[in-house]
Amino acid sequence: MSMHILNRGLSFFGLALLLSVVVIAQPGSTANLIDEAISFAEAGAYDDALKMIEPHLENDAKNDARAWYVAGYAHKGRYKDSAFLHSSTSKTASAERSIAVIQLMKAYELDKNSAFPGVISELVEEALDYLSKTYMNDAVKGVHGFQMGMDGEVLKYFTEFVKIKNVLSPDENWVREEVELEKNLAKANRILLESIDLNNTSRTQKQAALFEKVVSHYLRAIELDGRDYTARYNLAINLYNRGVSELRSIDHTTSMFELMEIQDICVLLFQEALEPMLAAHNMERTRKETLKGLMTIYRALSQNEESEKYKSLLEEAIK
Amino acid sequence: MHKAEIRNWPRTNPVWVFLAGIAIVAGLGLAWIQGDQGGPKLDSADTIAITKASFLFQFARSNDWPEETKEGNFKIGIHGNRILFDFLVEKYSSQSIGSQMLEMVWYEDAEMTEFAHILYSEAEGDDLAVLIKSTGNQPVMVVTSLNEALKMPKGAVMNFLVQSSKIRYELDMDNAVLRGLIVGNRIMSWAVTR
Repeated sequence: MSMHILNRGLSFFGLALLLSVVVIAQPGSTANLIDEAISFAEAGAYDDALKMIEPHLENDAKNDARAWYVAGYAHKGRYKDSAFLHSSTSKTASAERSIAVIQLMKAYELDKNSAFPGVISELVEEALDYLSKTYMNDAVKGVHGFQMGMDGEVLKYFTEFVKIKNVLSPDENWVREEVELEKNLAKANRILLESIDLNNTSRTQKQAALFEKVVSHYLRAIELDGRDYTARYNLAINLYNRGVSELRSIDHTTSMFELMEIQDICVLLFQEALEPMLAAHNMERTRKETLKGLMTIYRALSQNEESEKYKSLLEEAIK
Repeated sequence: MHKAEIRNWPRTNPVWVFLAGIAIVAGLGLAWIQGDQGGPKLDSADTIAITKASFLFQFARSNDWPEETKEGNFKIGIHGNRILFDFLVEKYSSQSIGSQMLEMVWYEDAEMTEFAHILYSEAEGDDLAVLIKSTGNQPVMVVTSLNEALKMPKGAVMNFLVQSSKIRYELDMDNAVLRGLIVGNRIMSWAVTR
């Protein structure tokens, strides 16, 4: 509550400081132009505000935090309008948002280095915080409505989110969120992969591309967080299941040569699955799904003694 | 300025409603993204059985049997592995070998009670010996599954074994000839030796 009052107080102080410049501004001066641009922006006339302020950003107002803030604010306004009319990821909205972030960052940097830092910075922080949330929102929506090949776009939104957050709160760490995002992208690719008919040979390339993404997202999650059990377990299961699905694709049209080739691929996938499954097991040694996974993988590799060992451990864990 | 604008907007403004929606979803975003719910489920299919069934179909397709056995259905008999039998039925029962429809026969006991072109068993020791004896000298491709420690039994034509984690098969050509079977070139070329 007291923080709220303090924030409001600071905000009023900030506005008062901004207005004080209006009082002393001379007609035709840069300060006056900025104030006029503020009036336009406040009225929602973003185009007019930008027409007035942007030509000065590389010249007489290039070191003016207020000018950069107003420009960024106006682009943010245009982003909102565009996002409302189309979508937040439309070409226009994306462009407006990118410019807004650049200009607001510039305002932030100038204000922090000025003689009286604080007022603009607070306003910029609020605007950037809003924009960062829209980026995170787009990353989440991207995962939710995932389509093949959207990985880069979703990760880009998250990167933008982190970039802003790193400026606003340099001490905060977003690795946990990135790990979860990578895992969710892996899952999104897997769901698409599972929806493809395995017997449709014309889709083999698509399947391979999706599977590669599943693996790479889990590997990235593991790289980010060496102690993530789920990423390892899920990676192992995906590798193993891929091998099984290759085997399942064998039918009466498969030649002897193809059968041998498929078996080679399967064994390779089963062997690749073993490492992350063992790593997951080492993290949580009594977890039933990992014990079952090891029992199954070793059996698929015809290593029956090892398979029996994990079968016994699983039976003990179930008791 | 930023706050002033938000404060002055009427609540009925559709843009305000839209932005409020964004704020709520964005707020939930971080929470939503936590946790990889609904992860992959382990495919519990018996991969060894699938592989062996695939080989048995190849054996049926790529070898040749005497003329007198080319009437009626082409039979693959299975003893000792129900999963393999079920998989064969599910995957190949609608196929034919030459002009013969493929039929899978399940043997509960270690005895070939009806003729089968291919007889696969996972039995060992006495049971296997009894089963093989029940085939006599008939043109039956007896396929066994004995590990490397055990010698391929007399009367068997093929034996599955594991090499570098892969299922492979060895071939006893003499037994094949004794039973009047003609082993195809492809089958011969992929056979392994210990």
